[in-house]
Amino acid sequence: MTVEYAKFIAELAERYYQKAQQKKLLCTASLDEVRMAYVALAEANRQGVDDYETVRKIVQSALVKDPECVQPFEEAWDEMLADLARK
Amino acid sequence: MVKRTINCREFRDYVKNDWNLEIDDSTLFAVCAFYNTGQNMILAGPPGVGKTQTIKALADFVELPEGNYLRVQAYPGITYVDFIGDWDYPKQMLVLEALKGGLKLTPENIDKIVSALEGKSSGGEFAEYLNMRDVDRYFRKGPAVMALERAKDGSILHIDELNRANEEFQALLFELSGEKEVTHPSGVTFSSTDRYAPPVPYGEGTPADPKKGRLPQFPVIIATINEGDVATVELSAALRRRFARVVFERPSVGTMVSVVRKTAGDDVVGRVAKSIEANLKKEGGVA
Repeated sequence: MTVEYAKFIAELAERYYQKAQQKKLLCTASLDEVRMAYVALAEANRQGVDDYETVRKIVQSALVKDPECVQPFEEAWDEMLADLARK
Repeated sequence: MVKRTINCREFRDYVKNDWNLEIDDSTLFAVCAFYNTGQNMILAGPPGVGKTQTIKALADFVELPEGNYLRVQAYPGITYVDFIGDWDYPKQMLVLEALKGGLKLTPENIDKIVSALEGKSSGGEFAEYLNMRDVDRYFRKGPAVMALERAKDGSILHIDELNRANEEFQALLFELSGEKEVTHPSGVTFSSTDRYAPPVPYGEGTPADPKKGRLPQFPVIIATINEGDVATVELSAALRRRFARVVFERPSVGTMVSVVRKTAGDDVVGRVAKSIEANLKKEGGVA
C-alpha cells in the first residue's frame, strides 16, 4: 500500500508543480510537503480511514497552500486518476 | 496523560456527537492524521464552519492537561512581547533598588553588583537575585513560551486569525513552526520540553533529535485563517510550506437543515415553515 501511495504522491506533486509553472504560479510541492502527505496518508491507511475523499483531502492539504493553487492541483489530480483508470 | 495518537473514527464521533459540529468526515480524518504525525496545521475557511471549535474539541479529546491549550489572537500590531513575552524590567529595577537599599553602597558592593550584571562574576551573596537572565524570576512568559515549557505534558498552541498577523509575527512563527523553539530579541532561546518525535511514518514514537530533523511532537501548532477577511495579509511561501492547510467547507443546505432540525426541534421548524408559507401566500397590498 504505502509504496503505491509514495509513487502516486510524488508523481502527482510533479505534475501539479509543472502545471503551476505553466500558469506562472508559486505552488511549491516541495519534498517536505510530499513527505507530509505521505506520512499522514500512511497513518490514515493504518487506521482504515483512507477512503477516496480523505485521501484527496490529506494530499490537497499537504500540497496546496494557496487558493490560487487549487486549479493546477485539480487538473493534476484528474490526470492522475485518468492514468490510473487506463492501467 | 496526553494521547499522542488518537483513533480517527472515535475523534470524528466525538466531534459530531459531543460537540455537535457538522464537519465532513474527510476533514476530521485529515486533522486526526496530521495530529498523529505531528504536523502543524492551518485550518482555513469562512467564519462559522467550526475551525476553532474543532481545535478545542481536539484539545479535549487528546486530554491535554489544564492550561496546556494556549491561544493567541493575531492582529496587525502583534509583537514578540504578545507572543514570546518579555523581561520584566520594572521587577528587575525593583530588585536592584531593594538590594541597594539593604546594602551599604560601598565601592566594593557596587563593583560586586555591576560585575555580576555584566556577567563577569556571580555576585557573591546576591548572586541569586543578580542573575537578570533568570527566566523563571524575571521573564513574563507569553503563550508561545508557555506552550514550549508545557510541551512535555502535551500542549497545543492555537493562533487565531493568522491571516491578520504582520511580518514580524510571521518571522517568529517561522522559527517556532520549523524548529519548535523561539528566540527572544535579547538572545534567549526557549525550546520545547517534549522529548518525543511522532512516529514516522507510523508505529512507535522516537526520541526527538532536532539536529536530525526529528522534531518533538509538542507543542502542536494550529492556526486558523478566515479567508474572506478584508484584512488578510499574504503569508510567506516558506511559512505556508510548514503547515498542512486543511480547508473547512461551508456546510451543504441538507446539512444545515439537519442541524436546525436537531437543535430547534421539528415542531419549531414546522411552525416557522408554516409562517413563511402563509406570508408568501398573502396578497400584496396597495401602497
